Amino acid sequence: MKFAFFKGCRIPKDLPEYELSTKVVLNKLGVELVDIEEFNCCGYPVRHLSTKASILSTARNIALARRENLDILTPCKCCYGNLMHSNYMLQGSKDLKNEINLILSKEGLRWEDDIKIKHLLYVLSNNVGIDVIKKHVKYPLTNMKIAAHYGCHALRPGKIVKFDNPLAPTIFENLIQVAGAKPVDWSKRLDCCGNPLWGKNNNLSLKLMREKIEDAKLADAEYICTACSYCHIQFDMIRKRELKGDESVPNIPAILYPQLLGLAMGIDKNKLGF
Amino acid sequence: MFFSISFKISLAIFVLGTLYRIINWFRFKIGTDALSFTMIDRIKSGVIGIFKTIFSLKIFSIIKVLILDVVLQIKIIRADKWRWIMHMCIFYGFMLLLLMHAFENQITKALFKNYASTLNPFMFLRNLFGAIVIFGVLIAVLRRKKTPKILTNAHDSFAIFLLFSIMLSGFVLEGLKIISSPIFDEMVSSYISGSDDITPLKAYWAKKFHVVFKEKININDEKLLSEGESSHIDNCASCHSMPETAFISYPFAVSFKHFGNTLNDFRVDRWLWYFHVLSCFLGLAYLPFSKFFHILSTPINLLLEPAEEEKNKVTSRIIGMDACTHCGVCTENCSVAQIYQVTQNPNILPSEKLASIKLLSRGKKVEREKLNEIAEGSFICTNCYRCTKVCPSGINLDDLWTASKNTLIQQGYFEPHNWIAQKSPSEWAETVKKKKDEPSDLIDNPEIFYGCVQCSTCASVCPVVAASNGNEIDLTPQQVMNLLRMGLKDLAMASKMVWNCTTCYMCEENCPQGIRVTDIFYELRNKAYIRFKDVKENV
Amino acid sequence: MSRIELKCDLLVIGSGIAGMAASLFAANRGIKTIQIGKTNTLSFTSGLMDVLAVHPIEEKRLWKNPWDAIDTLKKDISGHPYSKVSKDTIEKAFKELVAFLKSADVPYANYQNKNVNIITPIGTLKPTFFVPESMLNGVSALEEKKPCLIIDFYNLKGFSALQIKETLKDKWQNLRTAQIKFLDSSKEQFAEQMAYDLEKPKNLDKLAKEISPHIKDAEILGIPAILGVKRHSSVLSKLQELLGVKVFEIPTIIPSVPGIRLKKAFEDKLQDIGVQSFYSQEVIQVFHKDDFVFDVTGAASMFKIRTKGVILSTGRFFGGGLSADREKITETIFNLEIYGPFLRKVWHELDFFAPRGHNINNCGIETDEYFHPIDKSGKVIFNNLYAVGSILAHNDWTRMKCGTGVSVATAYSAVNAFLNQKG
Repeated sequence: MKFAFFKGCRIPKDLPEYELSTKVVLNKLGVELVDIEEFNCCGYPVRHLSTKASILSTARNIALARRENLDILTPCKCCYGNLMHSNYMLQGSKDLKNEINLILSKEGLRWEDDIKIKHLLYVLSNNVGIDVIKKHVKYPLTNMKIAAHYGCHALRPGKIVKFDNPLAPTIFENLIQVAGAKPVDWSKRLDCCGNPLWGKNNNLSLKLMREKIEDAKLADAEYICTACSYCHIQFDMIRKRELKGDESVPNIPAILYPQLLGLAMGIDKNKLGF
Repeated sequence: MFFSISFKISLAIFVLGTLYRIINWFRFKIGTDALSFTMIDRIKSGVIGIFKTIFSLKIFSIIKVLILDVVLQIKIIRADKWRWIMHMCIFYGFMLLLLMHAFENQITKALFKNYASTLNPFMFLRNLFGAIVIFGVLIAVLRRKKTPKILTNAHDSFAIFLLFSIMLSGFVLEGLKIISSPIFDEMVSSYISGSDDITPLKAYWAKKFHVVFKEKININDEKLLSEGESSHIDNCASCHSMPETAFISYPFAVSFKHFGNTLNDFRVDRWLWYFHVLSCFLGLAYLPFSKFFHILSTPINLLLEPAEEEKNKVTSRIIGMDACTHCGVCTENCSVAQIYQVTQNPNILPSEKLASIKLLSRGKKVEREKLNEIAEGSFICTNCYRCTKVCPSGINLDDLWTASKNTLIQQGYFEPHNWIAQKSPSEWAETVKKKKDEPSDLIDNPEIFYGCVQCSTCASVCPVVAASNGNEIDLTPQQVMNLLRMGLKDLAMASKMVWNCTTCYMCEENCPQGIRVTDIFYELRNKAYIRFKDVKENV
Repeated sequence: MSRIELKCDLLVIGSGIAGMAASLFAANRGIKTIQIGKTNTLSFTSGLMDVLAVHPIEEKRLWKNPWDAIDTLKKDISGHPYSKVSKDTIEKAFKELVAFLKSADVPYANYQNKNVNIITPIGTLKPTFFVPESMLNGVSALEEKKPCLIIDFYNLKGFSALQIKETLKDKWQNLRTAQIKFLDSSKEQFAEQMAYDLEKPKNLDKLAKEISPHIKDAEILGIPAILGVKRHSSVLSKLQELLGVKVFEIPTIIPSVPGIRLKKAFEDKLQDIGVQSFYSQEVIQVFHKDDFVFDVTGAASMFKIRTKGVILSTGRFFGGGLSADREKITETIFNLEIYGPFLRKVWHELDFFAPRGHNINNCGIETDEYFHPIDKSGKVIFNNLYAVGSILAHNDWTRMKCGTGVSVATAYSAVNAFLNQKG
């Protein structure tokens, strides 16, 4: 199994541990990741200003993956959602396709509807398979109570992103279970982490995060497990910086899924970027 | 006389220009943290910082960086071999020419006792170095032509043109000198006593060195030639190698032979010499104002950067901007560069944005329109750090972008979310009332939202509605849909609900009528941005 | 692009109460089931489960005993879906459904053979059969006319305690009201969000403190249905503990929390018993040879489902099972024949509140006794297709108060018919 690894803008600077742990875990599970240096931003951040710019961004990434004849794997749910959404728009409109391909042709690139885009969790669950992962789990994380934070843009709109059942997903809980840990049932598991408003309305952004953490506490979670660059930055970096010393917020740290699985697989902590 | 005066003038411009640029390093400012320091403070701190670096252990790591990144340009070779070859050709070709040709009297003669510009290997090497520079220049031109992402500005074109004309005029000049009989005559009068018959020598030089003489000379007379050869060996050979080794100038010389007399009569070689020398001096005078200034600013920036003092950080930003060669590598690697193809705002591209920020750093008034463009580019940047990682001049671009964003915000140029929030929806709607509008896919198509039954499911599931208080949100999603149904889209565009939406798609997923609420919000934002940005006032 | 193809024995199309019930019954019988449906129809229900309360609707005759009502109905309207099911079937179907809901921590209760009267947000009484356990307290309190406090919330629309008191004043004198400010009263309140807020103990404590002073002599408290979603049972018992009185919920306008509790219970727990569900998806195209093959949702990225049998529970117009344009009414997936008024001008009565309802409220699919859709000549169209729930013709369920009963009972029958046919 071989994929083009689409890491997006946040991972290289803010979350090197996500790239590290994803690569080491997938490598052990027989998935090869290829870096394409020319990949650009997925287009998610600019979508609120210009949908067309966002679609061009996605189309260029897909065109680059096409050049290598590889499907795309991304560990970021916002990247995933936007790639899927723009791809869907391109599938639906010949005019749009021609317009975008005209721009891409300057670089000798072309968008066509023949590249699959997959999120890390989907690949683990559907391409690698729960049974195969199970065989690699040597140190099950028994008794660890984990709140799976689904992340909005991979899940919805379900018709377009096709990640899991958008109203009652199970993929993340199953993956937590296979690591030996116990997924908790929490009311706000499908809600937003608040990061999309960071830098725009910080007060509201933090309130949304607080709501989630408090809800995870109600369900007795010990960790919030993430599988998205933006969600993790919110629950980890921003939370540590902005809510430092605020004792009204329950102390439930965030952990990246590949780090969690890596621990259960007995991979060295350093290699997982801890 | 001409030479020394023009040299002195250009040197003076060079020195003054350099001083001016250096003073500006401490005078200009970007970033809100820069506002609290005076120029004197920054100079003091900068000088101390550089000395501290030089006399600390850090110097070893800096030397390492200087060798790897400046001398060997490791960063470039990793990214693109051709660009590395280009840089090496231009820089080292030019440096060698400078040392061995421009400063032949001071340097080359001192090193090699028997140096003569027309003697091999020097003549050959001069041609070789020149060829290397031209090769580098050609790569540069081709690269700019072939990479659509890289924009070329007047400075780039002028720098390339200047380099190319110095090199070309040099070669042509050498070619003209080869065929020049006036120069031959001058040489004869200087080195050979007047009584000697120089006809054999002329014949020999006409045949072997391609000098073009006015009078007819029989170059096929073996006897005459052998006499000429012995005279050549006695008088000339110690300083003159065969011209064929000037492998670029020589073909010029051969091709000039047909009009040799005319060229010699008008002493075109002299005119061209003026041109060649003036081009060089122009280059010297232009250097402090050109991209070549990075030769100085890059190493100094490397020395200053590790001094982590706040004041130096501020100074380092300005030096960093001076170290930019507009090579476009940042833009080639930029995560959002492709957006330029849609918006046509060059300030999205880091290489161009940097030039704009330079303007901003001078503290002079920048036009509102320009500032809006810089702000758009700045807020589209995703801070992915890739430009900073690849910059061959080692500029801390990431820090520069953060600083410039702060300056923009301080001057009232906010992120769209924030400037739109400065007016109420009705104020915005009033402002754009008369403005023309192009219909868009969703918000102008009633079929998209006419199914809304105002059931408020969207509001019930919206995490923003749930978390916000009465001031943070004005409308709920179904109320926005209702405005659209009433044809009041301008009023919906600036709604706090629309701009505080996290785009989590809860509403859209849960809408029993399948209305694309979130997509509509996205389109409202797109539309608001386009409709409002021209009419926005900055506070 | 290659499409994913999924295989199953039974495909249930629809995610309203009929689709959910059909999926439940099928999974309980070990049938490999896929369910596909749009979203959120259940949050449009009150969470009350009717069997039958009004017949004939022209007379607005109310029935205490739903079974007696059904007996009469069967004689009067031969096409009504109830005419194809026995009392035993309805009872068994509900038994299985209620047991499932209990296991999902959404307990339901009823009176033996007797419709109960539930107070609506405007104070009228609605007869129904199964109710969320927390509402039954209210039914008995009304019957016993206990001293009672009913509260509403500042900024919660569509719910007025004063109006309830005014409407009920002849039936229940011992009623007092109070308006409470909810946590952040500065904004409009939405029942679902209030319900989630109250799952947090600190918020529940705050609310109890607000209510306490108003309790006085009241023995029971009536509150809009906002007491938690997934943690409803614990929120209810904790509030009763804090206040020291019994508490009952009163349904709100839609989207209603009791409906959302049903929705969540089905969405989460049906998967646990083996139903493979796809919500927010729609059928684009269908092919039929021996099996049905469906293309499901969205341009080039759709997927295929191959199935041996189909239960069509797509509802009527709001659910999307039927569609009406200016000319005619059509069934949206199979283009089945519709029983109903053809000419648009006879779809509706001139009087909007006409007691006998409108012709269009009785339109839908006609079936044989196994709920196979039939054509005009009475011939079965596909012998592996079943139609259940409100898409069935001859039942004006909103006026008859028989919606859930018809949905659950027909789903039960259809699943069993499929099982028998499969052998």
